Amino acid sequence: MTVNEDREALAAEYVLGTLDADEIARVQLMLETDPPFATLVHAWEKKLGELHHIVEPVEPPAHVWRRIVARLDGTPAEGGAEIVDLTKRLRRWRSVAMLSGALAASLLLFVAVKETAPHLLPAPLRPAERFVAVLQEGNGSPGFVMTVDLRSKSFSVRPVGSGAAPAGRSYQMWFVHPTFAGGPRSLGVFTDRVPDIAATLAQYPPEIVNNATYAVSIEPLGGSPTGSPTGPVPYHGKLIDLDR
Amino acid sequence: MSTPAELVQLLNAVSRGDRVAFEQLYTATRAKLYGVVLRILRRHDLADEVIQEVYLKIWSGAGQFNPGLASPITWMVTIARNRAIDLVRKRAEVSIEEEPEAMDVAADLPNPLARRELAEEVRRLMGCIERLEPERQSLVLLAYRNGWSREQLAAKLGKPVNTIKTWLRRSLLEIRECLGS
Repeated sequence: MTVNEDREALAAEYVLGTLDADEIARVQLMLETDPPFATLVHAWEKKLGELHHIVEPVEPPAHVWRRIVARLDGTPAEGGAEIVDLTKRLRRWRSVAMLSGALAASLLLFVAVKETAPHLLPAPLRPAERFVAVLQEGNGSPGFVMTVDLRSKSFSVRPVGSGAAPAGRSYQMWFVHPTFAGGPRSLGVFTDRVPDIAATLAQYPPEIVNNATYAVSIEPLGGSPTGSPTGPVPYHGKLIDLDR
Repeated sequence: MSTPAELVQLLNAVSRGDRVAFEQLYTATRAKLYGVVLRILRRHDLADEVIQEVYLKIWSGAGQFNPGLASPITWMVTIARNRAIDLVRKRAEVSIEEEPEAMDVAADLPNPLARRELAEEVRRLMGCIERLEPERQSLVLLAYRNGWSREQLAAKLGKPVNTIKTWLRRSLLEIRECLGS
C-alpha cells in the first residue's frame, strides 16, 4: 500500500465507521490540520452518505425534544450562536486566568485583548516575532501554554495546572503541518520535566513553525511506541501572532 | 421527510437563529437521525443523550452546512454517526451482544421495486455495492449500519481482523472506482 492509498483507506474507513478510538483521534487531528486529507474525507462522506437509506427510522421519545429546548433555553436566547460562542469564549479565558496564575493570566489577557481589540495595545507592547499558543480541550479548558520567540529562537511549553497525565500514561507533544506527508511529528514526551521542544523546532523554518498545529496526546508511559500519536489527542491549538 | 431543498431552507433559517425552523427541521429529520444513532449505540439512554448533542450541534453549526459538499440529510447523518461511533468506541462496556437479526443483511438492501423510488445517487451507490462479492456487501452494510469496528466485524463474520481490513479497503476502492465510472 502506498502512502496515498493508506490515506485514502483511512479517510474511507473513517467515514464508513470501522476505525478504533486511537485511529479516530488521529483522523480528528488530521481533519484539523491537513486540508487535503479533509477534502478526501468530505469526498467519501459524499460517496457513502446515501447509505443512510439502509437504516430504518425510529421515532425518538418526546422528552428528547423537551430536553433540547431546555438546553437551548439554558443559554442566552437572543442572538443565537454568536453570543453563546462569545460567552463560552469569555468563560474560557476566565477559567484560563484562574487556573494558570498571574503570569499566564496576564499573557492570556494580552492575547484576548489582541484578538478582540488589537488597537488597544500600545505599540511598545507588541514585541516582534513572538507567538503564543494555548492548547485547549474541545470544551475550551486549557491544558498547555506554548510560547515562541523566533528572534531569540526560544521555544517553550508548560502545563496549565498540574500537567499530570492519567495514571500509567504520558503526555506527548506533536506538531503537524499540511506539508508533513507522514502526519504529526513528535516534539517530545512530558516526564517530570517538560520536553525540550526547541531542539526540534529550531530546525524548521518560521513558515512551518508559525502555521503548524500543536497538540498533546495521551500515550503509553514513555511515549508513543510507533512514532505517531496512538492515543486520544485532548489538547490542540495554533500559534497566535502577537505582533499584528 | 421534507425535500432536500426544504431542508436547505430550514438549515439556512436555523443558522440565523430561527427556533421555529429548528423545530420543523427536528420534526422532519428526528426519526432518521435517531434510527442511525440507536442502531449504533443500541441503548435508548445513550441514543437520547447523543441525539440531543447532535441537534444542539446542528443548531450552533447550521451556518457551516455547505450544500456543495453534502445534501442536508447526509450532513446531519454524518454528524450523528460520527458522534455515536466516537462514543461507542470510547465505551468498552458497550459490548456487542449477540444480535442474530443483524446478520440478516439481505433485508437491508432495498428491493428493486423500492429502489426505483430512490434518488439517482442512491441507486448508483446501491448498484456499486451489489457488484461486490456477497460477503463483502454484508461487510460494508454491517459496518455502516451498526457502526462496527474491524474487530467487531471480524468476530461477527468469523474472519481474522487482517482479512477484514483487506476486504474493507478493497471493497471501498472498488466502490470508488464503480462510482467514478
